[in-house]
Amino acid sequence: MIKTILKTIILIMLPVLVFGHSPLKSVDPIDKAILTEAPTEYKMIFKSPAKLIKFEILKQAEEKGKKPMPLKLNYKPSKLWYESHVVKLPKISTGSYEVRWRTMGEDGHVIKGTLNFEVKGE
Amino acid sequence: MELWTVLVPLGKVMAYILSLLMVGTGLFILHFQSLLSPSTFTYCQKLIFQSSLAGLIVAPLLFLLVAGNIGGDLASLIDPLMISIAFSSKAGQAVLVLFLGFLLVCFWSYSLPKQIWIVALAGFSLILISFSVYGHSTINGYSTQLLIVLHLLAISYWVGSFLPLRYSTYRDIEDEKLFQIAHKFGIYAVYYIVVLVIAGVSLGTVLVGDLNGLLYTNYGQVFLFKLSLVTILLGIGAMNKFVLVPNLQSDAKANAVKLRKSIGREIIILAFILVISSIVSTTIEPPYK
Repeated sequence: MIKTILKTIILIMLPVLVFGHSPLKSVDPIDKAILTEAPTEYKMIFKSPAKLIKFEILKQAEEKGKKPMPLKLNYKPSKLWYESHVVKLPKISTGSYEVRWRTMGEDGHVIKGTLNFEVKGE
Repeated sequence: MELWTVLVPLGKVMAYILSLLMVGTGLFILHFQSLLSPSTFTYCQKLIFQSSLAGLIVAPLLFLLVAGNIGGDLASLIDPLMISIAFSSKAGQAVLVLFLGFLLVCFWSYSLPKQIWIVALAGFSLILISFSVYGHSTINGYSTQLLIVLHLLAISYWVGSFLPLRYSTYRDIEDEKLFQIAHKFGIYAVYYIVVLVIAGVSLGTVLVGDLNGLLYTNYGQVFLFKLSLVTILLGIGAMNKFVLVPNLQSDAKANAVKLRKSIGREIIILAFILVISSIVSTTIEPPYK
């Protein structure tokens, strides 16, 4: 009986568990942007002050099945609360990129997300 | 869905259960001390001590989960940087307050004369306050924080009665103490339920906003689901108060068994309510923004 109740509760809760918070106001480059020039920095603006705990940028492999390559960043988790966070990017070549971020809001909640952009060149 | 979406609410459920059990058993002793048989009284004291001891293990683990959740990987559990961020975060500070509460109660329970209730009360207060330090309850400042503390206090009265009452159904039938305890419990319960409902509905109104928020957002729908479970729980409680407890006077043995089974059902429903509450408070964004 307990197993059945547990299954029921998981089934009910699963759809809401995958809906996270969405605290982002804007990002630059915007999500899924196709750029002709490589960005030198990544700007994230949140709806309310947050600590940017993790910021990773990965270059998608051109060949199928290969893992994306993380770029080396000189980034440290923010110790203070800011609405706006700017991360300096290393030299970026043409290709598709995925940005993985993780923040903590002032209310103590941890929020994460992924964003994408592509540099196509001229 | 990542690991922390499950582990953090799970840790919080453990913290909820131990806290409510401990505070509630304390309230049970406070209200019914004169009616308790020596064995039930010792059982209650044991419950408080064991819950506080378990709390002293669960709270540090919950703190590590907070650090892990901040960093997002298993290495973050012991990463000094993530641990230092956890210390400075409200989630981490809430766990520290919780730990301090458990420590005070454990100290009182183990080595202080039981007459020094002030130490236990300080511990109980810290434990209840710890759940109002961060999260959605902070949105309207002290008013919503007070509501959450009152809400939890009222729930703990209910939760804390389950095990001692269940224990009494085995022990105190012959000398009619079970009837007296259960009857008195029902009288106090009315006041606690009024506090529980007023605090819960006020908090829900602040977080959910309006009818649209209740019906068309994830938070509102889960809130409704929780509310329906609470209604079932209240229904079982009402059955106990108006049918089973009065019947204890006529056929104590048979109705004590029924009461025990009924308490068992309440425990299962309450466990689900606590699971939902911890998921709601850690994972789902309320529509108030």
